[in-house]
Amino acid sequence: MTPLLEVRDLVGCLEGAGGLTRVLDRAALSVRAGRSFALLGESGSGKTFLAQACLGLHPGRPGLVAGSVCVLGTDVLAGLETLVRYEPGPSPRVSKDVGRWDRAVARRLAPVLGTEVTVAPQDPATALPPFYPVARLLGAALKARDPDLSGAALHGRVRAWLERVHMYDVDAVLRLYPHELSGGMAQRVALALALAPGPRLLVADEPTTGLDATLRVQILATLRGAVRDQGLTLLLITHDVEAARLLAQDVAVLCAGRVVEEGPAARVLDPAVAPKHPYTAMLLAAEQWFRAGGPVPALPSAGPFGAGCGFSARCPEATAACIGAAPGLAQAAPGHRVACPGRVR
Amino acid sequence: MSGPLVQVDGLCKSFRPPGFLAGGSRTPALRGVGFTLGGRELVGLVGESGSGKTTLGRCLLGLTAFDRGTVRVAGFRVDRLGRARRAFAREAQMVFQNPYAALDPAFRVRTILGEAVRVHGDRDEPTARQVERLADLVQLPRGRLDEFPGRLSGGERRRVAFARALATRPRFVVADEPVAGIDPPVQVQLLELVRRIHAARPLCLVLISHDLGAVRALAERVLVLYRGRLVEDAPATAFFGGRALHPYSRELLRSAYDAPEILAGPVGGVRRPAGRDQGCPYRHRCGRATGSGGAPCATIRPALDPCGPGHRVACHRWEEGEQP
Repeated sequence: MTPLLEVRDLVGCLEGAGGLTRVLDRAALSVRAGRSFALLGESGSGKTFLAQACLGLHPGRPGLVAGSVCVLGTDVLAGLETLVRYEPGPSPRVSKDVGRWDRAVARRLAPVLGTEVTVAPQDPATALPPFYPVARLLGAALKARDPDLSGAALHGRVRAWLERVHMYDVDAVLRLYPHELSGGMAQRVALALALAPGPRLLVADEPTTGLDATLRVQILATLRGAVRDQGLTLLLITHDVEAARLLAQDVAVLCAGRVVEEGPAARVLDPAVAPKHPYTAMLLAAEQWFRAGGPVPALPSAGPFGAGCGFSARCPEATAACIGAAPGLAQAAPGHRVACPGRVR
Repeated sequence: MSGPLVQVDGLCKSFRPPGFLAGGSRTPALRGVGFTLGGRELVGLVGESGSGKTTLGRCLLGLTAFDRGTVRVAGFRVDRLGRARRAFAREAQMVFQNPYAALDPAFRVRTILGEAVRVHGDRDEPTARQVERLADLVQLPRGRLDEFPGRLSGGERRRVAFARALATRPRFVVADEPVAGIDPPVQVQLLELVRRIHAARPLCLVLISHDLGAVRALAERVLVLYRGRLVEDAPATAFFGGRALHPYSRELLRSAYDAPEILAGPVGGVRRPAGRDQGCPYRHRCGRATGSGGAPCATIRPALDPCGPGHRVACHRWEEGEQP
C-alpha cells in the first residue's frame, strides 16, 4: 500500500542573517496508513519546517530545494527540479526564486488540503483566522467535506465537535472570536477544525504544548479516539516523548535537520532498548528525570550545527569522524535504524 | 525582622468581562486566598489554566490591584505602596511568563541588565562588572551579553529574564512558568540553575507552573489553586509521596504521571461547576462527593484546615484520601 506521506532526501533552507541556512538535510520518512507517526526533536531541529514545507504551507520564502515528497500517492515535487538549482556545501546556494517551487506545491495540494489532509497548527491563537467566530470556522471546516450541510444539521455537528474536544459552555464558545479564546481553548478549537473534515492524514504540530496536565490528557484521549473511530492516521510533531509513545506506532528522531534514529515507537522510545542515538538517549533521560527526579542527567546545551552529525558538538562520545561528516542510518534491528557509528556499525 | 516574609489574608480579585460596553457580572479570579511564606522557602504554585495562578503572582508583587484582602511582603503593604514602590521593587521581583514580550527587543542584553543594575543595584561597584556577575550567576556566556533578545534561544532568554529579576538582589521572587514551552533537556538545566541560585542566596521563590514535573524537581512546598481558591497547602515530600489529600490534587498528579492508565479507560469531559453556591466548588468533578450521601459537599464550602504537619486541605472528606 502506498504511504500517506513519503519524504525522501529532502533538503530545505531558510533565509537567515548570514544568507541561507540549511534546515533539513536529506531528511526521509514514510507515514503509512493506520500507523501513526511521531516526529520527535527539540526546537530548531526542523520538525515543524518539514511538515509545513511538505504541505506547501511555506509559500514565498526559501523552502524545499531538493528531494521528493509524495502526499497520498501524488509526487508533489515532480517536474519542479527545473525551477531551482541547489548547490550544497557549508554555505548552500540556491539559484532561483525558491518561492515559486513552494507555490507550485501549494497549488498541487490544494484539492486535498483541508479535506483529506488537515493540519492542527502549533500556535493556534495566531493561526486561526481572526475574522470569524468559532461557529462559522467550524461550519466551514465541515462544509469543506460535505457542501450540502446547512441549518440545524450543521449546527448540531458543530456543537458535537466542540463537545468532542472537551469544551464546556459550548453555546458561549460558538460566539467567540479566536482572539477571545484562552490558549487551551484555541488549541482545542484548532484540533476540532482539523478533525471535523474527517481527514485521512492529520498533521498535529505540538498539540499538547502549553496545556495543563488535565487538559493534556484529554487532548491525547481525543486524538487517540479520532485515530480509532475515524480511521485517520496522525503525523504528530512533538517534543513530548510520552505523547509520542501513547499515540504513535512509528517514530523518527530529528536532530539538526537530519533523521538520527527511526523505527517502531515501542523500541525507539523505550529507555531500556539499546542501541540508541545519544541524542534520543538525552531526550529520554530528560523525560525520565521529570517523572522520577533523582540526580540531574548530563544534558549538554545546543551548540552550533557543523557539517557533521548535528549532535557532535554536544555528544560526549563524539570523535573527529563525527564532526567531519554526518553519519548515515545503519540498521540496529529490523525496522530500527540509528545514525551513530559509535553505537551501530 | 521576625515573622513571615510574605503574608496573604483573604485575597480576592475579580475581572470585568472583556469587550466594549460589556455588562454583566465580574469574573472572580481569586476568592479568599490566604497563606504565609518564610524567608527562604521554595514554593510551587500549581493549578490548571484559569485557576488564578498568574493573577495571584501578580497580586503578590503589586502588579495587579486586588479587590479585598491584605498582602504583606518584606514589611510592605502591597496595596498601599505609593512612593515606596521603587523600594519594594528592590525586594520583590517577577520573572515574567513570556520572555519574548518581557525583554525589550530594541536593546542589547547588556543594556537591559545594566538598566536594572543602575536603577536598583549596588552603587559602589561598576555597572559593567555587576552585569557580568549576573551573567555568570545565570550561566549565560558573557559573549551573549552583546546580542539582542531576538537572537537568543528560548533557554537563554529565560536566563536573561532571571538575571534581570535578580539584579536588585531581591528577597522575594515570583517566577511565572519559567520553563514552559522550551525543550525538556533545556528545562532540566534551567531548573537545576534555579535550585542553585536559591541555595546560594537568601531568597524566597514562588514557582508558578502547570507542569508538576518542574515543581517536583524544585519545590519544598506545594500550593494548589482551584478556581481561585487554595484547596491544598502541602509539603512537597507529602504531596509527591502519595499524601496529596485533595481530590483535585490527586487528579492533577494522576494526569501528570498516569496518562497511559487514564487513556486506557473512558475519559470524561470537563464539567463546569454550577453557579455560585455555598457548596464545595470541586464537587462536580469529584469522585468522593458523588459517592455515599450524607457529606456536606453540596451545602457547605470546606475551609482550608490543618490535616498534618505543615499540611492544610479544603475538603470535607480528606480522610478518604489517606487510604492508598
